[in-house]
Amino acid sequence: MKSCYLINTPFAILVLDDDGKPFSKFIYEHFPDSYIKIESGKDSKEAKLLIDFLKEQGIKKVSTNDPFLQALLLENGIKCVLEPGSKPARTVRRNLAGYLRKVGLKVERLDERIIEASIALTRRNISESFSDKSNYVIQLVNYLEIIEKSLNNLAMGLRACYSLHFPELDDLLEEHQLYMKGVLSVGIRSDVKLKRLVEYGIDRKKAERILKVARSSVGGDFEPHHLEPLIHLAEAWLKLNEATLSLERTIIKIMKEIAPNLCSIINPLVAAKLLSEAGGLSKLASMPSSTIQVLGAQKALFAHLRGKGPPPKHGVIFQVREIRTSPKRLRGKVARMFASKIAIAARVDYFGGEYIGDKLKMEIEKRLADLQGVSNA
Amino acid sequence: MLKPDSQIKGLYWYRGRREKVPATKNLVPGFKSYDERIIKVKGVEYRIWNPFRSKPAAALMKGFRNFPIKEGMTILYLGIASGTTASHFSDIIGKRGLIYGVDVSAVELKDLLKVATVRGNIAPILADASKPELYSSIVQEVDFVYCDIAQPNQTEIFLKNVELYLKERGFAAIAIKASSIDATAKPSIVFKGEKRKISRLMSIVEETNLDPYAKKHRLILSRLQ
Repeated sequence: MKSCYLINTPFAILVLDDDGKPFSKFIYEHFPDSYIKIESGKDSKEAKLLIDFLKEQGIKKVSTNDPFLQALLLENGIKCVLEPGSKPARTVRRNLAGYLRKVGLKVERLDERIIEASIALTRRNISESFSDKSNYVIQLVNYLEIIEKSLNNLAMGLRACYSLHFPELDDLLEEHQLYMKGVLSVGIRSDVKLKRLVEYGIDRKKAERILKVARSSVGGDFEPHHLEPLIHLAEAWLKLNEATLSLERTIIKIMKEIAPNLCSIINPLVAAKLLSEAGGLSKLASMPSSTIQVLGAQKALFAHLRGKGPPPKHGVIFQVREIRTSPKRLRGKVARMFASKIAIAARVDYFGGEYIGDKLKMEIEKRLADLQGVSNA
Repeated sequence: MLKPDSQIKGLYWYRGRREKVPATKNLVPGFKSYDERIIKVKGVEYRIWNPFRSKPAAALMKGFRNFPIKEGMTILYLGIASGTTASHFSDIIGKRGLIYGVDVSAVELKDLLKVATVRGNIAPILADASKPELYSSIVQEVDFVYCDIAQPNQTEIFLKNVELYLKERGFAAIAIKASSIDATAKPSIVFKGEKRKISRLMSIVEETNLDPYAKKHRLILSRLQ
């Protein structure tokens, strides 16, 4: 026999001759683990026996229905083509029970066993997919966005409450984090102390101003127990804010691991948001740069396609510092250039290429300088 | 009030306050496959098949006549997700039938695993349906292919799978979302183009728009020659 067909099934690898007649078989000793090993690209006892058999018989041409089996054979130096639609593969699919019987394998309740094998295999594949850090980072980024929005809402709510007591503080401390520290250190307006404000990290000039305004505030008079929940909530807010920073650090760390090139040209957090919009590094790597440029601006893009409004110049990548700070008339150009570099970086990262971050960065700087030079001329 | 369908075995119609909706007899009484409504008639559980959440149910509401699923069938389901629609297919085909459920999302399949384990007639497969060879060692020849994947090349993916797995003269149905193929073209033009592709391999048996249950969607049933 010079050539043969190998039809993989959850129960055995069937060896069929040129005419599609069963010639031999390699029954999986442990159902369904041995089969799952092969479908996970791992070596197994049955595969070894099969390879020995093919070599012994001097079979030169092999066709199989299963890409995993094909890969295994190719690794072992056996030429093998993938033909899931070959006539023997189809014939076996039409009557699996019959073919198994022909090679002396009687499988009771075939459908149930197929389900058993597919559930076991799927469990393994789900677990593998969940181990992929690119999926984890996408979930983390989505969560980060939820928390950022929530922190903003929580701060607005607290401002509204505390403002009945000390309305002027709202304008004095615009940054949420500082405002929370302000609430904690002021407490009851009449008790406000300069030293306490400074201890909480408010700069001396601002603290003096707060002190002055507190004396002439139009806010209402409150007892300490009225304000107690607000004090607790301001503390909780600061803690949550702190935890968010650790979330950001983790995202940055994972991004630098899975996409070092991408992270060398743009902020890793922005890179993570791009990844999340694209739906994974593999998807981002397969996107044209024009799509990357407008990722996150789907609403504007579709409005434009429907003939309403101009094409969007940028989506998520607007958050790239160099784009955001460019003069408005250059932003489209800068965004387009960044999108193309991001596409290159993502592809190199996905396909496991070398580090080319420094080269990309140099090209970006040169192009930026060119653009700015032209615009100034 | 619950009545069996005059032609389709395993399909029932429940007359609610407003209109008649399809229902299937629960294959696994006491177990909910998603958050569907359950009706009990003479101690038997029926699961309401919500046309707003499932496209075949929407097609039935629109008077689709050639419903191809029967007891004991094997089905290849592309884009099974967490199994909302598939659970009703599973009710109809019963214990002797089998659904191969393919989906590319691990998050969705994680939810399907439980449904599959309890129902005993669904084989979940985590794979990209655009590469049907990936599951050719487990999927056998099937009586019916159902495809519901919102991809620009969904029809090509559908046909690849039909070619490999559908038996001769078997039926296949695809739910097409116009905007996932071309967001700017008129849906009728998009459907026409997709139908032309299908016609190269199969003959079209019946089709229906799914308005108002799923806007700009069409369900096309075809048959292999």
